[in-house]
Amino acid sequence: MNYVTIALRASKTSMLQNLSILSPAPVFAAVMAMHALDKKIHGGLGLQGVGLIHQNAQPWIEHLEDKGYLQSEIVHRRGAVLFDSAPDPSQNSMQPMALADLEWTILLACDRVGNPAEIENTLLNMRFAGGDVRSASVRCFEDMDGALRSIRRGFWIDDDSDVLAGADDPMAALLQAQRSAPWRVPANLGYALLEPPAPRKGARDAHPHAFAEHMIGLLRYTPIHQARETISLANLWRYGWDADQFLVTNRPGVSLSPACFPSI
Amino acid sequence: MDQETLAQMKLDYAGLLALCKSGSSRTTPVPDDKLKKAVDPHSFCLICASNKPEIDFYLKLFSMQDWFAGHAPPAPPRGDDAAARAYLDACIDSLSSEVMRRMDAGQCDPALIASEAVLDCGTHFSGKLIHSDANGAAMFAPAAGTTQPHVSSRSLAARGIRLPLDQSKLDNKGVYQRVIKVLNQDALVAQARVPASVIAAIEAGAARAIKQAGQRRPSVVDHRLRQVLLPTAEGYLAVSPLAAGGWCVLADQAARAVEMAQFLQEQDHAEPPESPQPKKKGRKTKDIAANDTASQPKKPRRLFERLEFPVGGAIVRNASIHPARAVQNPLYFGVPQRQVDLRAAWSFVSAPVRLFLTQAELEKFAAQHAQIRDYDSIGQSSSITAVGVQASGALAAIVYRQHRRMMELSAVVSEADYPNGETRVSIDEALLRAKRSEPPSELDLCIVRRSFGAEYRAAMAQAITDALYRCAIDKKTQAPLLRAIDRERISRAVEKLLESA
Repeated sequence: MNYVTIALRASKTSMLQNLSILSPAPVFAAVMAMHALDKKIHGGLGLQGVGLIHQNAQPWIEHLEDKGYLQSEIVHRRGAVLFDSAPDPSQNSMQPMALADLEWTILLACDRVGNPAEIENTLLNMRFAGGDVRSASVRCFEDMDGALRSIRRGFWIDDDSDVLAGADDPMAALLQAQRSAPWRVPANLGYALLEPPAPRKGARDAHPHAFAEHMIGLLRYTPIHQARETISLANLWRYGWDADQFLVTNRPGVSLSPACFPSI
Repeated sequence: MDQETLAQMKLDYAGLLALCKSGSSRTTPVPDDKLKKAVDPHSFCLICASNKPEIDFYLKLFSMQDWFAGHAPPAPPRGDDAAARAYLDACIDSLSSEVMRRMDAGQCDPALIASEAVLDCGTHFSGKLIHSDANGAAMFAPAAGTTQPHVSSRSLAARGIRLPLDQSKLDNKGVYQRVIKVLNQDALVAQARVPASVIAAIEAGAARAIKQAGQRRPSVVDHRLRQVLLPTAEGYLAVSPLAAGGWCVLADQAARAVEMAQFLQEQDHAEPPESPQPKKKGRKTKDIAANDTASQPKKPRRLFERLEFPVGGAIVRNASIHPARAVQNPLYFGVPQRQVDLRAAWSFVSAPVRLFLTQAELEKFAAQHAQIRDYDSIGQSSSITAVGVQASGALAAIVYRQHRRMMELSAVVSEADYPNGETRVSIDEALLRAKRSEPPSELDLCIVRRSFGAEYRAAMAQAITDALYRCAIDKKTQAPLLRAIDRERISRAVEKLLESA
């Protein structure tokens, strides 16, 4: 097994987890971007798992004074298309968006040896959670220990959704769990299909299409110097289907299948 | 009706007008442009009564405006509040009994009204919340189970929590909105004294429609919706995640419940354990009591940060049936952020900024330099072409890294305070001049002023060229790699790179 660390800086990444939860933690997008990277690299990397280490986030939130109080406001941008009703582009409507600049280190466990320059060049031409990849510095290692030791600081990201299991009201449990421990953050960790997939006009690249809903889980951030000893291949992030729910997780003991079985 | 008569009429029926206010908190008065259409006291009272939410509920839901205009009770005497109240009660009773009569006679079927409205406008998940022009993306929550702990319509349904219905389009006739009021067991329905059989019929009709519409499959996916590709065994599946206004309502309610629970707990703790002192009369004790209550919060503190996210813009009903406070106020959850590097900012106050080049960078630069030197037309020149060739590869990497460092340092310097004796002062030009033995360099001034224009580019070009001249050494002869012509070309290349950085 080979290991790659990617120190990534991305700007304008999306904070939108679903319509009512914003957090600069695009875990789903990050894991699937690494799947895309694997497919784009010539010959493939044979990706086995992804480790996510959060370094820094700068949300696009301004603190503006309102009647003596500091009010947090998201930085929105105006639409680019000029409408007849607007005399000039400064009157264009605001487009709701919630963005953040991120610094993450991503650990990849792969079957094949990667070429750092090729990985870096591929990443620089990719999007990360809808944002631009500003820089990516890639290093290759032969053992996980070396790769982890090279990551000096940051927060290891774990899937902590198990604390929601068995709650009477999952929504209340989500908010209470978030408050009951440091650095627990709700995030979108999967999609549940609302219907069996079917061919549909307008579907991307003519793939089968289905409408879906978000599955909101919990993340836990642990300082890397505390987490380093516990990290193994078994708790790297992976993706797959549970019947017709597509999940990303690093919870040990969750078995995911590569195929989707409609249950509706 | 002219202005004077209208004003007189409003005075006469002030009690009735006060009872007929609409809006969720019953504060919106009857609009004047409606009242102007009145010709006599009878029609004036009719307009007032039609504005009352309970009566409006019957009129809109069963389309009884015409019947009500002909069958309204006689207008109450002027200036009599009790009579006004009795008049409104009589209106509600006559509407309620007329609905029952029609239902028994088979002229009106509440179940059919409800099922048509739900089939037309009902949904759980709606593409309108992604883009208010998106059409054909309205899905009901499926009756599927889950073993996963995540919060989704499936895990909520497994605990018996219904996702509140949303709308897939705006119903201009207002029927769907009133069906929703019945389904949500709104207080208004009880106040309107809607007969139990009508409520049961509406609920049955809506349930039938939801079941029927749950089988509906759109044939097209709107290009305004996002599509995520998910890998499957056979290739990829394109998935469009849809938002649910009902999810937002549940999240908003849950957040409020947590805040209220905390508030009640704090109040219990704040109450004095011993019995309160007997109250003395007088100004002083009053003040103390007032201060005590003032120190306690009167309403729950906000434990969750909410940000404004204007889905649907100023008119939220274009996107969702739910109120803006639920749909447009997502909860924000922060993640760890790196502390401002105070050490770097404070050391900048006393020492000029220095560029550090790593060994790897210098090796790459030496390789690039060796390649360029082999071509006479470029290696011996500082022409535009030569500068263009130089402004790439290893030098570009060096320039971008140093530029990012300077930008970060500048941001940190502008944020950090410097402890100057007892006080904390912000770091500015005057502080640098006071604290340093030598006057600050041009680059230092650009950083402290946060100006990154031509002066900054020139200063960086100078600094980077000097650093390369100092550090890039020929390993055999121990002489600097760069000659005068190289330095000029590199300096121009750095400026060119910074112009586009």
